Amino acid sequence: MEGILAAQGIIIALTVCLALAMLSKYLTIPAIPFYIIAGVVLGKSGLGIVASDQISSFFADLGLIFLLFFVGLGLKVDKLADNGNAVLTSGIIDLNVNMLIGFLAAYLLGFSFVEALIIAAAFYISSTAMTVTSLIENRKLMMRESEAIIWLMVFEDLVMIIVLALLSAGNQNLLLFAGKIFVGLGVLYILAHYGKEFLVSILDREDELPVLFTFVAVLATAGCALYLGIPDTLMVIALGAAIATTDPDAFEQHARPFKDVFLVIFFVFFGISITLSAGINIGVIAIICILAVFSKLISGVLTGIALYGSAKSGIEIWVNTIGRGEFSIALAALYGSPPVAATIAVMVIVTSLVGSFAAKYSDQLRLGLSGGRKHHGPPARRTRIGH
Amino acid sequence: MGGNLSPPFTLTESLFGRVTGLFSFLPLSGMTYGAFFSIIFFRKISPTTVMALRSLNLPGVGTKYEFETDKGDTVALFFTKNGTIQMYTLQKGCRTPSAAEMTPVEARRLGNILTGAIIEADQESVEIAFSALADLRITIHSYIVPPAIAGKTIQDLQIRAKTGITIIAVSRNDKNIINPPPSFVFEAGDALLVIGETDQLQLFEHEIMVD
Repeated sequence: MEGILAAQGIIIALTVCLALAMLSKYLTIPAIPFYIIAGVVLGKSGLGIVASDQISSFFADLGLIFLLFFVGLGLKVDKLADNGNAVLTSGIIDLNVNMLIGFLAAYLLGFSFVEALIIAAAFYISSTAMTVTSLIENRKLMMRESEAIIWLMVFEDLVMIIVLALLSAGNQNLLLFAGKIFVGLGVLYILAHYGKEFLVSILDREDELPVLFTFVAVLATAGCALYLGIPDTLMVIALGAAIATTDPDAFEQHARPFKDVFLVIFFVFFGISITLSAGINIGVIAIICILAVFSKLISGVLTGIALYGSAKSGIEIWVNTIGRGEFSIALAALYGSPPVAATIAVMVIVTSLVGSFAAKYSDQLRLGLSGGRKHHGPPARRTRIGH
Repeated sequence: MGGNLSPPFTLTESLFGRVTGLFSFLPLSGMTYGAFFSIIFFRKISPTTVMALRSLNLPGVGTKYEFETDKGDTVALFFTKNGTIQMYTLQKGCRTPSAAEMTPVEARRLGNILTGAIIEADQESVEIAFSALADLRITIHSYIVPPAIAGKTIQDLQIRAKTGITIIAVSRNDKNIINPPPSFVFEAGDALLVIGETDQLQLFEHEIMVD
């Protein structure tokens, strides 16, 4: 059993993360910032206790792959189309406002064009996990804005997939690249379509087969994609989307333990890999963090006005979408240079904590913000549901 | 930050260079954004029509059920993916709903209360109607054994002969005894699960389950 010792860094990091996860659940704030901070403290910018190696980067990659697999499983393009108007309105406002502010801020503050694009994408995409948890834990599901917020997250996931595709294309021949992706997608859909009964028969079993199958399918897809030179990130999302046509809930259930454990390793080793010394300007990071909080306020209020004619609705949308999280980190880990990664890491920590507190105290926030306008006549006629 | 900037770079210096550089993009991007937002703001979403019960699947969250009562109050239920059930009620004219979060067991309990009669807090009953059997209505009811009949057996009390009901299970110290034999001895605090018609159960309650 000597092999276990080879991964002692992972054991130390995970033990620390377990303690922090308990603390974060107790305080009901998101755990992601804790994992990253733990990584920074343990890693080369901090105490230097844990360093990443081949084993840890394998596990961290697994975490990322399973996260993307879950994105694919949850991809419901048809349902998105049913909600067409509202989703499109909020999605386009959110995309334009935040991408624009994020890009301009990063570019004007001295990042290169590509770096600014990556920061803009990370700046734009809110954390789906944090948003959903916040809506459930703060008992906000019944608000009329909740549905819009949830569909906004689905829209953002779609945009993220497109961003991933664009970034992973890099300098390749675009036609060849697109061709390869389409062949890959085609194979996955044909397998899922014609193998549907086989898949369902495997999932119905009570033994180790469903879990083993899920794990191997995800890993093998990523491996094949890398071997063929197609981005594994996209193929894993596509696998999730293709498989979701059979029994997404069963796959979610079987893949969840892998995602839960490996994703923590991914976050903490992302923190470990961060270098806080090289060319980091605290002022620049601070400006980006502040803008990250306020650009979502702008997009939230615009969305609230566009959908419900109410800026207050916008506040509610804002507080639940401030937190950036897993996808921003994923972009930073995949494509970020050290300064970009550090910037995004700090942005995720700040926005997720601010978002968590803002969502908890959103009622007071709205009262405070609308206090001066109370005497402007009776409140607007309520629609069926809302605040 | 970018490779082109030396470490002691000042904010204003870089901002100036970048802003002037960006002017070349502005006319084009300005037009695009103008178009986007004019499309968005000239299209108002019509309020959704009121329906008796609507259910929908919220990605990542779970399933939502919602209905409005005749008097205009709204009830919404969410079966979340992490297994809890949240119930919201919103009184007509109120702005903030009140919410309760339940485990599946608690939710089922609430369902029992809403669908059938419940007599005491720890005694519940479920009525089942079989329409195929000439509307046979059978009730399953739970009772707690009072001290008065502790130490007696089912046979001693002549339960079947006197009331017509059947004791189908007994729960004692978190252990369940299914189909207790006539020689079964009651202890105070046993929870009984009893099956019969409503009249028979009332008889049982008044004749046997007396303190």
